[in-house]
Amino acid sequence: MAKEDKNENLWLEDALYGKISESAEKIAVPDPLLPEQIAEKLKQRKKEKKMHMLQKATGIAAVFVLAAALGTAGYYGFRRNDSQKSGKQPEQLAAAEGESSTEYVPVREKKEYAGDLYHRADDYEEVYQAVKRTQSYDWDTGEWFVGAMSGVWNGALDTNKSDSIVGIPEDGSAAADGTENFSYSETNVQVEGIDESDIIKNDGNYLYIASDVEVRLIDIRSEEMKQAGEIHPDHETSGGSAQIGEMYIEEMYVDKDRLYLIVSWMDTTLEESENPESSFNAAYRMDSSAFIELMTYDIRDRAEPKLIGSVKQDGYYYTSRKAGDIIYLFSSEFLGNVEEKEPEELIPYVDGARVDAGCIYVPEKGNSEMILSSVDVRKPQKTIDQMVILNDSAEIYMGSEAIYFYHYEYQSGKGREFTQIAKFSYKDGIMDAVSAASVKGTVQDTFAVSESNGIFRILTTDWSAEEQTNQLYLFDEDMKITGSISDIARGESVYAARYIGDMAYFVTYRNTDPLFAVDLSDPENPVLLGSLEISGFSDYLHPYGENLLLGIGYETDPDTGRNEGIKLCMFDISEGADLKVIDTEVLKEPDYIPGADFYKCILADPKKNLIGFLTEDYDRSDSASYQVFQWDGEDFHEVLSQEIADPVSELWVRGAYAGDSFYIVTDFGITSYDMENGFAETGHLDF
Amino acid sequence: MGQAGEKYEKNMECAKTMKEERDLVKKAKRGDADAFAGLYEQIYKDLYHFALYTLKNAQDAEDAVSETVMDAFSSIRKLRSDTAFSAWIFRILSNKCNQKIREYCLLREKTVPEQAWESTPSDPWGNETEEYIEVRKSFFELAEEERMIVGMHIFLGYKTREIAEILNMNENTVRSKESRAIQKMGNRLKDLR
Repeated sequence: MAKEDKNENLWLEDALYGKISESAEKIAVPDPLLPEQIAEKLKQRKKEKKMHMLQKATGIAAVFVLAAALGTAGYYGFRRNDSQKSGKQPEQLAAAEGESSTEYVPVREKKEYAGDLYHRADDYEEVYQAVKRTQSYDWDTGEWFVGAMSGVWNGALDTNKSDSIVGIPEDGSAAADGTENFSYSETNVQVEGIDESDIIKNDGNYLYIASDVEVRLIDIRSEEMKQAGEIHPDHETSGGSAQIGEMYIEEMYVDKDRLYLIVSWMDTTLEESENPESSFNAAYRMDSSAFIELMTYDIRDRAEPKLIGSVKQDGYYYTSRKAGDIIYLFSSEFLGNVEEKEPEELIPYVDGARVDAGCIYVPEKGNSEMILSSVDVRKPQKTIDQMVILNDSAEIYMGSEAIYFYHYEYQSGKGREFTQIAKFSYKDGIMDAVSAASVKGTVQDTFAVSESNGIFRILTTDWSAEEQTNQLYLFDEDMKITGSISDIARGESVYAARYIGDMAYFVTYRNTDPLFAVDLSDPENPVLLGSLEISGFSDYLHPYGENLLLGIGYETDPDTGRNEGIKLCMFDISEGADLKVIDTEVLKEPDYIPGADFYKCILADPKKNLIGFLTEDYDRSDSASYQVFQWDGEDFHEVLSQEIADPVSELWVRGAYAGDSFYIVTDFGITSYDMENGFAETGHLDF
Repeated sequence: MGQAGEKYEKNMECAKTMKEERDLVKKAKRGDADAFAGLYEQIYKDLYHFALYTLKNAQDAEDAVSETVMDAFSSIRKLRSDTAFSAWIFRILSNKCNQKIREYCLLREKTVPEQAWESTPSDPWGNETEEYIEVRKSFFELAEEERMIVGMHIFLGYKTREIAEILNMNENTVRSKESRAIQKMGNRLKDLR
C-alpha cells in the first residue's frame, strides 16, 4: 500500500510537473524583462551611476545650503566632545612599538560625533534600532543607495607628499639589491605616498601577478623571465575554520620581503537553522558568510613564500590603503531584513570578535555597514583598531591625514542633491571621528576630492537645476568651510580633476573641453585663474613633471559631440592663468580607454617618460591594444602598439617597467620589450 | 559520425558553453551590461515563470525579477565562482520571493488576499487550453511555501537538498512538504475530472 502510494506520487509528480512546466511555457515574459530591455536598463543605470545624474527638477532649484554648518543643529544636536579623546592612545602605541609582547587594544573611546552625520553607538541595541528604522520604507529602490560597492576609481592624484608617511625600513634584507639608478614602475595611485593594492605589483626584480586563485612571483632580473614561486592561499590552513568556502584573490601589496594578500572568502555551507521547522521565517542570508582576510607572506625566499600572519574581517572587499607600515582594510556588508535577528547578530566580526559598540558610528538610519580595520604590517596577526559606519554607500578618500567618507543624499521631491562628508583621523592606525559637512551637488570624479595640509577640497556638479552648475569648496581641519567658488561652467559637468599643490585643475564638458585652473593657496579665497577650450574632453588628468599636465580622454566633433577617437593632450600649466596646449594626439581607431575610468590601469611616469594604456576598438570585440607613448617636449610619439588577443578582462592588463625592460602583463602571460632597442620584443612567459 | 565523435562534439559544446559563460561572467563583473544580459538571456524565462507561479501576481513577479536583476548586476563581483551564475541568481530570486511571500502572510492577517491571478485585467496567461488552466489552478491552491518548493524544483531545477539549504529547512521536511503538495494537486485534478 505504502509502496503504491509512493509510485502513485512519483507518477503524479512527473505528470504534474510536466504539465505545470508546459502551462508556464505559454506565458510570455513581460517586455520590461526581455534581455535587450534589461541590458538597456542596466546601461542606463550605469550611466546614471557614473554621472550621478538625477532627473532634472522641473522648478528652479535655489542655490542654497553651501555647507551644513557644523556645531549647530543636527539630528542629534552637535556636541563636540574633545575631552573624550582617549589619553591612553599614545602610551599604548609607544608601548606596543617598544615591546613585541604588548598587544594593541582597539580604542574603545572614540569621539561621540562625526559632525551631525554619525554618532557613536552606546550599545548594539542602538545599531539595531538604526537598522530597524530603514525597514519601514523601501530601501530596495535605493533612493540614496548610490555608489555602493563601486570602489574608488577615477580620482585625482595629490602630489602633496606627506613627510609623515614614510615606511620604516625592514631589517636590512631589502630586495633592492643595491642597484643604483634602477627604476621600476609602481601602481598608479590616487594620493602620492599612500599605496593602493592592485592585481599586479612590481619591485624591479620580480613581478607579482594575481589571478583569482593564485599569485605568481616572476623573476625578471634576467632577460629570460622565470616563475620563481607561487602562492595558493586556499592551501593554507587559514585559521582553522571548519569549512572555508570559495576563495577569491582581490588585490595585494608588496613591500620589500613581504607580500600582503587580500583574499575574499565565502562560506558556501550555511549555518544550521536553530529551529528548522519554522525555517520559512529564517530566510537564507546571502551576505552573512563572507569575509576578507589580509594574509601576510614572508617572501625572502621567493620560491617558498611563508604565511606569517593573517587578520580577518566580515564583509565583502571594498578597498584598502597602505600608509607607511599600516594597512587599512575596508569591507562592506548589507544587512537586509533584521526583523528576527538579535541586535548582536548585526555586528560584524573583525579579528575574531564582534566590533565593540564604541567603535560603531550610526547615522539616523542605515542598513549596511562599512567595516574598517587597521593592521600594523610588523604585527600582521592583529588589528590595531576597528571601526564600523552604518552606511556602506559611502565612497572613500584617504588623504595623508584623514579618511573622508562621502555619500550622496537626494531630496526626491525637491530634486536637491547633496554630498555628505564625514572626516575621520587615522594617525598611527587609530581611527577617530573628527567632524562632518555637507555640500551641494555630487562628486563626478573620485579625483575631485582631495586633502592637503589639513585643507579638504571638493569639487561637485549639481544636476538639480535646469542647467548643471559646478562648485568648489574648501574646508579647514574641523570641516568648517573656509571658501568656495560656485556656478562654474554652467550647463557642463566635471569629467576629470587633479589637485597639484595649491592648484586645482579640472575639465568640464559639453561639446568642448574647458580646462580650468583654480588657485587654492588662500583657503578663504580660491581664485579661478583661467580656462582653456579645446575640442573633445579629458577623462583623466595626470601631472607630467614640472609644469605639464597630461590629459587622457576622447576627441569629439564640436558640433555633433560624436566620439572620434581617443585623445592625448599635453597642457602647459606653468603660467597659472595662461593655460596652453602643447600637443594633442588623436587615435582614430580605438573607441574606449578603460584607464580613463580605472586609473590603476594607466601607467604615466614622467621620470621614465612613459605613458602606457590599453585601448579597445568596438568593431573588434576579440582584441585590444596596449599602447605606449613618449613625450619629447613638443610631441607625443608612439613607441609601442601591441595587440592583445582576447583578454578575459580589459581591466586586468597592466604595463610595467624595470630598468630598461618594459612588460605587458595579461591574464595569459607576460611579454617583455627592450626600451633601449626600440621596444623590440625580448621574451614571453605563458601562464 | 561515430559515437566517440558525438561524445567529443558534445563535450566540446559543453566546454565551449562553460567558457562562454565564464567569459561573460568576467565581463559582467567588470560592469559590462551586455555580457550580463547575455547571461540573463539564458535563464530569464525560468526566473519569470518561477516568480509568477510562486507569487501568483504578475506585477509582483515582474518586480521581483527586476529587483533581482538590479541586485545581481550591482553585486556580481560577489559571485565567487564564474560558472555558478544561474545558481547564484536563482538564490537571489528565491530569497526575494520568500520575502514577498512573508509580506503576503503579514497582509493576510488584515485582509483577505485578492486572487490577483484571476482578476488581472492585463491577463498574462493568454488564451490556452482548459487543461493548463486547471493545472495552474491546482498549483495556485497550494500554500505559499509549497508553491515555492515545487516552483524551485520545476523552474529552477533545484534538487531537494538544495531547496532545503536555501530555505534553511531540513531535507526530509522539504521532501514531505513537496509530497503533500503533489498529492493535493493530484486530488484536486481528480475531482475536476
